[in-house]
Amino acid sequence: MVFLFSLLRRRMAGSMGVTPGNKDTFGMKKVIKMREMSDNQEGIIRKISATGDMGRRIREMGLVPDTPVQIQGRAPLRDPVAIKIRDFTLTLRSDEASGIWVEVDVPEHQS
Amino acid sequence: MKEKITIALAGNPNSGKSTVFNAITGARQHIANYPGVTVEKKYGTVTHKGYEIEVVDLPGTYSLTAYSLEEIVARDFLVNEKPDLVVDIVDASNLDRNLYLTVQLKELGSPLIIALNMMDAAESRGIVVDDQLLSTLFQVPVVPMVARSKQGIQECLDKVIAVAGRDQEWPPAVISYGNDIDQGLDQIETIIKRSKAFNARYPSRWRALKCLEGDRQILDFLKEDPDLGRSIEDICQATSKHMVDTLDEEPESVIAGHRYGYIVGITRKAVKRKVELRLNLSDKIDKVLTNRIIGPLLMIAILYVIYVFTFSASEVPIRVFEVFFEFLKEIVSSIIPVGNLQSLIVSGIIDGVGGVLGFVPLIMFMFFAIAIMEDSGYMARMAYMLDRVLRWFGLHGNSVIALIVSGGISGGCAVPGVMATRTLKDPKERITTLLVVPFMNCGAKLPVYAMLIGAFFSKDKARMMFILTLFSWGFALLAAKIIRSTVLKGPETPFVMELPPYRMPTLKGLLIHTWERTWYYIKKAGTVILGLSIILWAMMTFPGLSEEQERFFENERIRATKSLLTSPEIKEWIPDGKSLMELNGLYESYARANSEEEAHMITGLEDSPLFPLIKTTFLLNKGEVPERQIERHDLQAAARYLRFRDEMTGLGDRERQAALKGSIAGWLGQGLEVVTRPLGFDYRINIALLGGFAAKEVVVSTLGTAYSIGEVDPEGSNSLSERLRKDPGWNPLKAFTLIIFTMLYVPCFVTVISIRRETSWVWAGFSIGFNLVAAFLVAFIIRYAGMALGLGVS
Repeated sequence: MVFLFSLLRRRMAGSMGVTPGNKDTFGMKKVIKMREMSDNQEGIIRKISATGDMGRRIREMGLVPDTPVQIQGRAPLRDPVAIKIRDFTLTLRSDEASGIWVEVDVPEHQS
Repeated sequence: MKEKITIALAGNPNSGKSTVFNAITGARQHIANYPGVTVEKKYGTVTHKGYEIEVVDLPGTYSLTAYSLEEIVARDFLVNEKPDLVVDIVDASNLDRNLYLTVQLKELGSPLIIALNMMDAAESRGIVVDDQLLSTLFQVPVVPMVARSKQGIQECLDKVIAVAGRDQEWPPAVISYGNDIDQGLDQIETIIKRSKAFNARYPSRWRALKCLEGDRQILDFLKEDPDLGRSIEDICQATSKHMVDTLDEEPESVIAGHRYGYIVGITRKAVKRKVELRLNLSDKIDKVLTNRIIGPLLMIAILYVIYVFTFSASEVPIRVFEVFFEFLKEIVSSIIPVGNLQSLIVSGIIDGVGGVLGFVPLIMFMFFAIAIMEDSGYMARMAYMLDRVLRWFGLHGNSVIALIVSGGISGGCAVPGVMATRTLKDPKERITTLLVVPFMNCGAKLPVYAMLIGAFFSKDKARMMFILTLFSWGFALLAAKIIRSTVLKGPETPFVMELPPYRMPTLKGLLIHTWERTWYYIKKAGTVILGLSIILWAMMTFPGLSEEQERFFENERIRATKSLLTSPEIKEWIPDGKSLMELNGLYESYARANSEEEAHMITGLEDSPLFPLIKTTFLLNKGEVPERQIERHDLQAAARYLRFRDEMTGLGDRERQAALKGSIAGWLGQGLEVVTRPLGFDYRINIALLGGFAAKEVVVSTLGTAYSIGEVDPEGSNSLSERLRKDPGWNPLKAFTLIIFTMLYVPCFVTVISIRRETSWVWAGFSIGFNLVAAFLVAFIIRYAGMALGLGVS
């Protein structure tokens, strides 16, 4: 079961074109905080560093490692941020989005 | 086989759970609170194929941890009440996250079926769910459903009977969380099974899992056996340390990850995506409605439309209520002789309860509008857009609902506003919101504003109302900031909120929502206000006039009557006191017939020999110069009679004024002058403000009595406006000070009761004290700042 599961995880991640476990930059990828992502940017959640009540609420809404996510927009005062995850839209404050690490593509000219 | 089945509806918020509940139970539903908490418990019954099915609607939750009241309530119900079956409402268009709760229900060992709701929404988004395969993989019966159009409801009930009738075991599901966690689980499970704390109602593996998740409720429970608690804690710590060292993750986070992994493993097989729609319709609407610039503008426009809709739609029903209560008063007055009993029923009970119930149409339309905003999903967008602003004042995005319901757009009611704070999870944010909602401009304050604005600011009514709206928001937010940085200091709570897809609300759902809240208001008005009205009436009636005063007014009346009867102008019309009473009666019928435009009543009166006098007096009273053909001495008689009538009315008003001043409320009002003198309020205003504790609009009618101008129509209240404008003791500054004081001073009694229900007497008392102090300080500052600027020196 455990084996099957880890296999599944690898396959999921593999189908998204990345290998789990790479930190910071790997080729054209880098891991940044969710609050630093720009509008409409897509990425894959790599790590949730938020703990306690906050971490729990984030995770039970489906923000767990290896989940694809996209920034949908921001409220008129640039906070909170709305994200598209799984099949729904979730809003959370920028402070809370700091505890979520997302792997994103590095634009060509930066790499 | 059982005849009676109890089922519990579980599911995420926005999964259409209440739609399913309404579709199953129809109107046969009841609301209560779960014992000891303010979480609502809805239940209802339905008879299906000879079975009586009791349906309990559990609070909507995303999970079954012990971190929110709703989750604890849902969990305790499942464990302690052991329903025959749990129907888990799952949104098919948002399967992964919805199944997170399902997995936990399975681990808890609850007998379970899945109602796969919103199949239509899923399909329109290109998501095709194979319900058969899902059922096989999940090992749980699945019923596809579109609850909005009642598809699948009967099938679901069939399934309920079939599954609950089976005498089946529901072993708790065992899910693997990876080697390290599984080992820890095994160890803890073994310890629990052997210990005294073992309880067959809780699956031991589930409790072990909760221990590793750091669940306070379960850990505290196991700690009752100290040895057991210690050994479990040791295992938890060891597992946690190992996980952090090797994976850099807490066990709790690994567990959540595996749960989602398990779900995704199943949904990848059972769900087919036809097209990957990058933006669905709901997202496209959001691009406009939550746009940085258009979003806030549209929000203001929508609120304005609701304001206009509520007031215009409720105008006619409110008038109907008024007419009804007037009618009731007339009937009572005609049956019960003049005296204290008549006064108690007419001025105490009917006026008091009628005044509060008169707002029912307004409140109902306001709730209807709010239900549309909630059911369509727009309310969540408002919370999202305003969270940043509200957070600065120590509130939460969700506080906006309570603030708007209470009168954020002028004309709400704080009672449902206080109830609306239930959506706030953090107790400090919730109590703060609930303490500041009474500052908003509720519907009952508007007549007071209208009267004073009419008297002193009639040129810019609209601008004044706008200023007052801004003022109440500003003050409520400022007060929130003060409360949150003093008595209710604490960290802000996370704002993690789903933006549910926009949905067209169903009429049935809207009506049920509206009615639930309106009924709560009516119940309060019918019980609390009844008692309070009687007390207030007694305070304003007793002890009343002294014997000496009574004799004085009696003598004055006799004097006026004698003078009329002996006057030469009137002698030929009415020879004695008896015919004077006849004339009075006829005149009043004529005046009423005229105001109600009842032509046949007027025709009936024309036969009377006194009719020419009546008609001339009436015209003279209206200021219309009677036609030429009226003879001069008739005109003189009419003028004399009119003078008599005015004299008698004036005496009545003065008598009422004297009686009010001589009552308990009058004494209190005079006693309070010591405190209110710095604000420029005399005993008359004080009495009115005391009356306003029952309901703010009472301020207007009481002021009317105190200024001895008789009956004041709270809607028009022109005569009172006129009277105050001419009074040298009044000026615009005084009026503005009173407006602000009325806005802030105390929550009305019904609101205080609601605050107590949601919190405690301590907070209800705090609310009264805090508001009084705040109102006093603000009114004081306004008065002296105004005087320093040379405004309204009196």
